[in-house]
Amino acid sequence: MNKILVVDDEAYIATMLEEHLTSMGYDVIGKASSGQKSVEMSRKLRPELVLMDIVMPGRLDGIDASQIIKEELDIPIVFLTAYADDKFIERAKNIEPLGYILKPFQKRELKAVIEVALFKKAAEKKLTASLKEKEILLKEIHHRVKNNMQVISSMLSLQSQHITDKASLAMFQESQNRIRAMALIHENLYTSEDLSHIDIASYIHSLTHQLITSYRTTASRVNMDIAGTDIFLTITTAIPCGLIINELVTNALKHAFPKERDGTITVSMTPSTKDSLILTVSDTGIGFPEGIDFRNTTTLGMQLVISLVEQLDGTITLDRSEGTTFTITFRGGVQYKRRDIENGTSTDTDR
Amino acid sequence: MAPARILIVEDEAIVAIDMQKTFQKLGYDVPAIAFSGEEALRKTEELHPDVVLMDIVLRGQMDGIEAAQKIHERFGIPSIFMTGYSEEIVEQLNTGKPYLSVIKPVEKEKLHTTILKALEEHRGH
Repeated sequence: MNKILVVDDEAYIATMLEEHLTSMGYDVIGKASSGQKSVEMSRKLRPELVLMDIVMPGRLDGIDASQIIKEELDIPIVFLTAYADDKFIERAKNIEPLGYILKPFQKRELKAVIEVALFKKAAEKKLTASLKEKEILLKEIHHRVKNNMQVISSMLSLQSQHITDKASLAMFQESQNRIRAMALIHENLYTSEDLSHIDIASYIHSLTHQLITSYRTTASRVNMDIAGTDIFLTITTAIPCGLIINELVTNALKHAFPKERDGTITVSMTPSTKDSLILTVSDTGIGFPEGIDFRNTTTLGMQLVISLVEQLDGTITLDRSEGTTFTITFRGGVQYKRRDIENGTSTDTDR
Repeated sequence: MAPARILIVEDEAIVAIDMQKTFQKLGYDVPAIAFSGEEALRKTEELHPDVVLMDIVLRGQMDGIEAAQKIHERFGIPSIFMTGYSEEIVEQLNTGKPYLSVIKPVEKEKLHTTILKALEEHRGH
């Protein structure tokens, strides 16, 4: 039997409703005579539906009370009122009632509205549960993908322990770093709030940490400077971006600071014009070798960068005036989120 | 001084073996790997490691944080959490003392100082 709370300031109406509802097979667990009382009784009795009058004496009218009951307890509301003025309907619809019945009402109508409301509520609950389940599943998948990538990386690491040749060892190390760059994206995803956007600044921090660990000797005399605003990328953009940053920072660590040279590597991502972002990887090192076209190199790292920029539908430029600066601009409806720091919520921004 | 004895708790076998070999190369005594929180408790009792290197996300009923708490309560042995998260997130994890953490991939020096710190703090308790 569905539990219903009846709210009406007219005692005889409340009693009549109770009789009707009981005869229809519902369990009337209480009758409240004001908005305030209906909130208190709902908290205590947890009805499955509240049949609510709108105009009642006291601090809270039926709409105010419904708002509290709905937000706090997630109990569906059906209004039963003699008023159909626009101002009431306007306020009432904001709390998304599952029904609005006008007095005088017919008994049959009452039953139909309540049945539909209860059914809708049950369907909504099922939907919410199924959404939650999907979310958990999605989380598990990201976790699984990350773990699998970590396993691949570890296999390469174990295999490389049998390598004595330095050049081959470096290739294994670089392959491992590439896999980890991807694994980190998935790790960031399953810890993200919405499971679909990666906080790029936080990602760049973890990624460069990995690279610093791999190239300890150089990294010990090089500053790593990361400038990132609150940019959130989807996985489609984040994976190529992560790999590009991985290659360019690796290049800088490997080549820009020979002998005992020190300096700074800077990675930054900033919003540019409408739907485009600028990624900059620069270093204060010896500079990209003169006479080499970075678009036409024999090194795998640069070839990957060029291909990935194409995949992002972006452009890449090299500035050799001071050290090395690669600037990548990518367009193509990149989605990103801007965190609203003031009210602490995330909102989608379409720029 | 004998090398510190480490118990690794990590639920991916291949990742665990990789870590075991890496830490052995760094000179630590790594006699065993545990794949779950429950196994970590058993192996801690059996092997009395100086410190436990613990993955936070584990298969089974117990996660790494709970396992570390139990190991501390029962055997008074400190755990160090290994995580791939950034430093900021690690701070937010609020794991509480006497737990420390290192970020994966683990740096040799960082691991060394963290282990020393864990052992020192542990003695102070």
